[in-house]
Amino acid sequence: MTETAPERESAGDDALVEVRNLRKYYQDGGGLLDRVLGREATSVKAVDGVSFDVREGETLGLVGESGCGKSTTGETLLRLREATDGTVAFDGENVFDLDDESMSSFRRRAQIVFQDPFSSLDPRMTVGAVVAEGMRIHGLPESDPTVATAAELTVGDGIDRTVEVSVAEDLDRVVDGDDGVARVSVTVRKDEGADDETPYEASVDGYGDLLGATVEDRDTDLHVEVTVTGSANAIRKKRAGDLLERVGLSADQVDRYPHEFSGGQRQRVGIARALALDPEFIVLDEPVSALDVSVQAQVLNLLDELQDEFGLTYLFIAHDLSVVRHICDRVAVMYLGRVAELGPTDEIFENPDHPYTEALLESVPRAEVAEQGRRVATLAGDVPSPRNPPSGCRFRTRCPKVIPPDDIEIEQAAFRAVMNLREEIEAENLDPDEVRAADPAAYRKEEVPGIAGENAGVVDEALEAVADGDFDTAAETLRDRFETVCETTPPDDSPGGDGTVVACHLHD
Amino acid sequence: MADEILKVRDLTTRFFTEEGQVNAVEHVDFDVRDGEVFGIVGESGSGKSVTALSLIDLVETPGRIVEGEVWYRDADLAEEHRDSHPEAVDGDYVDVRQLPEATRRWLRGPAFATIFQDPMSSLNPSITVGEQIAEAVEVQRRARANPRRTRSRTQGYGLGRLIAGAVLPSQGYVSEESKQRAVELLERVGIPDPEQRAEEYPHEFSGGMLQRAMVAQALAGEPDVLIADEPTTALDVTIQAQILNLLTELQEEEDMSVVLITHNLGVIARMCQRVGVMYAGEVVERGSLEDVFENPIHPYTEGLLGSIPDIEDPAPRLSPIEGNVPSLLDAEMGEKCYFADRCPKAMTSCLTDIEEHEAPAATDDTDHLVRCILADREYDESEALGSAAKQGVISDD
Repeated sequence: MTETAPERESAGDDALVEVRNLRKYYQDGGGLLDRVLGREATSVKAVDGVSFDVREGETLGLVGESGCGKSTTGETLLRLREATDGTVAFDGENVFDLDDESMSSFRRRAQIVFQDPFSSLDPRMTVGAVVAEGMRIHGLPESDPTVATAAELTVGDGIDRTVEVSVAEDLDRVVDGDDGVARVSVTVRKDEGADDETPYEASVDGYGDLLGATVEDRDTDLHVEVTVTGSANAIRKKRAGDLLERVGLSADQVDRYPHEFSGGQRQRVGIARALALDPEFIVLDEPVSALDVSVQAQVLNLLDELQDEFGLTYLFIAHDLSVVRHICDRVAVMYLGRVAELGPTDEIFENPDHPYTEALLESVPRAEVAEQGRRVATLAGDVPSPRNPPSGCRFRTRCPKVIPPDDIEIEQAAFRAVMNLREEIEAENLDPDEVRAADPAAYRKEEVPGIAGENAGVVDEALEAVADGDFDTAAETLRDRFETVCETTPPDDSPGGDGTVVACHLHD
Repeated sequence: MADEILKVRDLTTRFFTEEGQVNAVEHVDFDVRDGEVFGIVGESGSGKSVTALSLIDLVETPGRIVEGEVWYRDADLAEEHRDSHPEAVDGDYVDVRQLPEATRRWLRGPAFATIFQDPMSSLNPSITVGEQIAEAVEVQRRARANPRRTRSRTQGYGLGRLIAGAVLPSQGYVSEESKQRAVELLERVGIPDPEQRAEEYPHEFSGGMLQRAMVAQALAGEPDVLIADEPTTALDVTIQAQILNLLTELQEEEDMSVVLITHNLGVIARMCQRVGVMYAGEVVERGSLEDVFENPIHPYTEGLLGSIPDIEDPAPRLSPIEGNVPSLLDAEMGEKCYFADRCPKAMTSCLTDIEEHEAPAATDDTDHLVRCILADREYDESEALGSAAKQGVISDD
């Protein structure tokens, strides 16, 4: 199973995976019943134009809150879901138009570990079968013609003849190669004091029934032949056992079923399954979210070790920022189907440029005494619906730093309040009676404190329109005066020369 | 020293399952003081949620509280029961577990209220949020008017009840006053546009909004103690921050005590003054936040703190606790320290010297209690429990 790393076409830089403008929309409605009822199909824009690179050997974190599209991105770039638009280049080749053969090779080279260790393992398969399944599908283990085979011979006492060894070419199906050579040690012996009639014996050390050695007695010398005697299934099972051992389980657990394992152990099985095909790239989709902290730390350490040992590239999807900080080299922060900020981990955590990243980091409770009683400036409200995402910058509806128009003077907090009021009016959420009862100017002082002069006049005018039940005019009035660049122009979220993204107009 | 609103002593809850007896909560002691947030932290299966359920007497079969006292301070209640149930009264405190069933049920609401982890499954999807909260208000209102004959609910939701409700309209009667109060409560917990939201069904609410609605429902009875069982676990960090701020605010303004149960040490640090760490059904360490976080004595507490990545100062490698959370089956537990097989500081005496209760830590004041032999002695390497011996004490797989 030793594969020397295939020559890669240079992709200009060291990007293993290049995601460009990836989109994934889910159609909602549009079925027969909807058509009969005349309902229009809407699409849920789960991933709406995401671009980033995953560099060879790095761990790129994809972080964001639920519904931001991070898992969909991971699954779509592996082509586990059909992308709506965009391209993903893996090692220079577009994943979305691979032919069958290249696709099969891609499936081997790119793997995934899922979040939920309970639903991602078939309860009716032994964990050995789970780990070996990929190898079976891909007809592995197969022999690699570039790997040479050799034997280290130990000759027992009482043998004074020349011994020659020949080793089967496909030995590398069983034995891992080292520097392009798969090596086994063979012992040839004859019982002491045995007569000439007793045959010589040869045995392969280790490998159980998978390898066998036979001795042929020629006139002047002995000829030993090492062959692979185990079936493909037996070889796979052995390898599954080795992998289980590598991820911290024990090889004799291959015949157990998933329900006999705890959550952390199952996640290790999931990791062993991903490793079985010697991948280069693994998407880790919230691999530790379902685990308890003590077990989570074990799995994180394991992932770290495996990356070093096998030279793996990870896309690490998570919502837990402290885990991301611990394991990732670079981080992409997603919000509502887009990348808000992407950069080196330390940079993102120490000097976040995007207001959303700032808010996210501010919200995380630290496990230390200084945290006690810390009041967090929270983001107001919830994430908007991905069916109808806000125009321009996705985050503008909650952003505490939303940019006021150049030509008016207004405090930041007051502008936020005006924008909130505008959204309420656009969504027709205000109650005209209430506004009328309170008197528009008084209502304004309550809801949008800190504005005066012309700004206040415009807001009052809009609220008077609301009091008359005319939401359109009210919205129009506000929009005329308070139009922010954040709503008119989407910020640039394509990776810059150094691969970083700050999708925010404040950064321009 | 502040007064305790709640004193839990020797609480033991077991589940009698087909596989055997499960010791979910073992001899748990703790106090909750007036106006404080007491945290219970532990991993899954450590017994923290069962402890919460045991406090309010909601353990379902096959589980049973087999032992223990839950002393709740209420002078009026104590006076009322002093003659009829002398064993349940001690000064101003009543032992909730020894009170008559009707009184115990009455206590849920004005004394204890709970919010659970998953708001989606805690609310009825076919009834508007406002109505569900109004119902809680109504129950409390009736209970207060007539504490002796409380019905724990106003209405069932089966088909039979539906028909009965149509024939006997008074069955599900929720007064306008209660409905109005429900809207106020929704406003209190920061739900915008409460009148309209009260008319909506749970599926129309986001996770954060639902958790707010759950809090509103819990506030209906104006409880003295709010038991929050993983209130933010299902939520995103920014929403979690909102809910935590809300809880702090309410706790201060309503002068409640809060028992906060979570696995998240960060949440504990932000919210709690005092904290208890649970492992395998026991409180293994308890004290002020400073005691537990900065001077942990129990190796499990140390391990727990060491296994979370620090967001501000990432260490190259985490130091996890080896092994897995043990089975709580009585047959497999035996008489030993349950953490011994994972403990980096296990000594031979850990298999024999078992403390049923926590001992004060020798290093600081009496408020810091530890259930570990290291409470009053130093780790001695010459007595170290070898890994072979550790293997011997755990089951053979």
